[in-house]
Amino acid sequence: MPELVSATGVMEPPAIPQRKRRGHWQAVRRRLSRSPLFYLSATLLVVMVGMAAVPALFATADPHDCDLGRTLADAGAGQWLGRDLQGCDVFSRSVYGARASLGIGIAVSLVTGLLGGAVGAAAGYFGGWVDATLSRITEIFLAIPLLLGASVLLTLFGTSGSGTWTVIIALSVHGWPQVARITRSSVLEAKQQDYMLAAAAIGCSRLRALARHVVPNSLGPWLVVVTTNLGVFITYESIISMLGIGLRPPTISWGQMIHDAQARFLEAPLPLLGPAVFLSVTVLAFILLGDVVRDALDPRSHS
Amino acid sequence: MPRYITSRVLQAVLVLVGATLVIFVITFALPGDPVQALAGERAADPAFAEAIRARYHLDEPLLQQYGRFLLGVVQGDLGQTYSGQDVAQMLGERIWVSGQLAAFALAFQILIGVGAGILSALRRNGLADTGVRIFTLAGLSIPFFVTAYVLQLVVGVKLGWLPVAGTEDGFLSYIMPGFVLGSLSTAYVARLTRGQLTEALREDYVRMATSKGLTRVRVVAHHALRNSLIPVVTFLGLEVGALLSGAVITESIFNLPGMGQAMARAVYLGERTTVVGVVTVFVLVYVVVNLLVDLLYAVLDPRIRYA
Repeated sequence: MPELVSATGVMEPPAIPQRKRRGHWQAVRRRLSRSPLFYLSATLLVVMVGMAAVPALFATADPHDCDLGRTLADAGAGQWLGRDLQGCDVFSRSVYGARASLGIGIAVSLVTGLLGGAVGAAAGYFGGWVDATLSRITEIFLAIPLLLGASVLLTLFGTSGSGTWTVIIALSVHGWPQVARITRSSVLEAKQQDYMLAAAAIGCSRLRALARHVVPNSLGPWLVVVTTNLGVFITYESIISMLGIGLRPPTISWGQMIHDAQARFLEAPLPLLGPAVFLSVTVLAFILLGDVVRDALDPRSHS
Repeated sequence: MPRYITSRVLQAVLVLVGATLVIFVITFALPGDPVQALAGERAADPAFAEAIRARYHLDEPLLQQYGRFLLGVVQGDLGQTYSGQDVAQMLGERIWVSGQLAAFALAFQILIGVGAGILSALRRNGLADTGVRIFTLAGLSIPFFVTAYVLQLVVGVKLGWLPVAGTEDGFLSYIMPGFVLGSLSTAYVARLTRGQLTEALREDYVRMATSKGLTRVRVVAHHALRNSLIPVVTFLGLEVGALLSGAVITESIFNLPGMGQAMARAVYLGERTTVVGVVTVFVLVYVVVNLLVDLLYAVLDPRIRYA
């Protein structure tokens, strides 16, 4: 019996030149860093987050230091946006309002993103009766108009404490179905790709396939909707506070400032327009960010 | 097709029942005792309280109350408010106002939104496109209630072109509120139309239509636009919910006696029957509109045939 000769030196594997491997996310990051709109929205957001974190740095006066004698004073030296009915500095109050509005927007986006993402992913991935049950529940909650559902819930909490947490809960309860729908459809799409078949063929467990293949590949649409929703929820918070059932003093929020200023809007527009501009710029920054993220994730959509 | 319609209708009924149950359970826990609210500041007479509780079936378990409510809905009865007003009748008087408002809003969304989207897609990266993009970004970022106040001040008070509030001036009263309510989604409609039409214009069937010598107008209107409007119609269907929510605020700002205004007042007063009644009507509208949208697919896209 001839001996097996090992062919060392003959079958040397060809050397693969060390090249920079570019994954999907690196490409996304590269496209992001090339977009001027990304820097614009990032700058706006950094300023807004700065205001929320250390308002005293930006404000020109103490928001609680009010002078009733100068009620509804027009813009002038020291007060860029004039004073409101209580004689408080509108600019400084708007700066201090960033914390509540941004905080609620981010919190609700995260909660609805996680809850909706989990429900949608489970429905899309497991299919069958899980999908049928979860999808019906999603549809039921989707049919209740968000703002109506939230205001009913908030009235329920009533005077006992309509604080930051109750607003977050009320918006989250009715905000998740939209995220669930979008996540479900993108998971369904990812599940049908060939790489899932390949993963199953090499004996990859279902949970591992979910974590390693489905989630990373269906993250894009989820990320876009969660980013865009940030702006939407900030607007909803202001609407709820504007209706008088959201945040209450001493918490300062833009919606509440608009609520307080609306009765005198015809005589003194600045106390309403001031917080409105802050609100619009923040929402704009999040919308731009959502756009930029979408374009970076899907290069086809931008051409 | 009949099988599809049947399952789709059953699904719609399920959503309607589920959504009303959710709202029913939530409002059941609304703060305040309605009986005490009727009695005013003094403690309610026990006999009177009992009579009221029996009359409005407040002494029954929640699910039994809900069953009674569903039975009423099927017969077109939404119950009575605690001051004895018939909710269905009250909403019937208001639905006309809300309907007109919604019609104006929808008209603005379609005219301005789809129009701007088409213009933008046909003149891509041109002056009109840039203008539309700036306009849509502004529309998306400025909250619609701020638009409402500014329009009231400028168009209503300063220029005096349109009535500021109320419904005394017939359809003129609805132009401004309709525009404000429509502005909620006009920008989305414009963006969606632009994106869809841009993509459709690159399709082979459009090149085919052009190469067989059809005019530009015919190619766009008959071939590209028809296909790109399907997602827009779906979006408008799903946006009905936002439109109804927005009506609550718009009707309050412009003092229109519609269902939204009734809803805002009822939530504020803790008037359960009205809240449940309005939400029921809103959910019904939402479910029916989306059912119709689904069935409309087959008309808009000949490739879709329901088995």
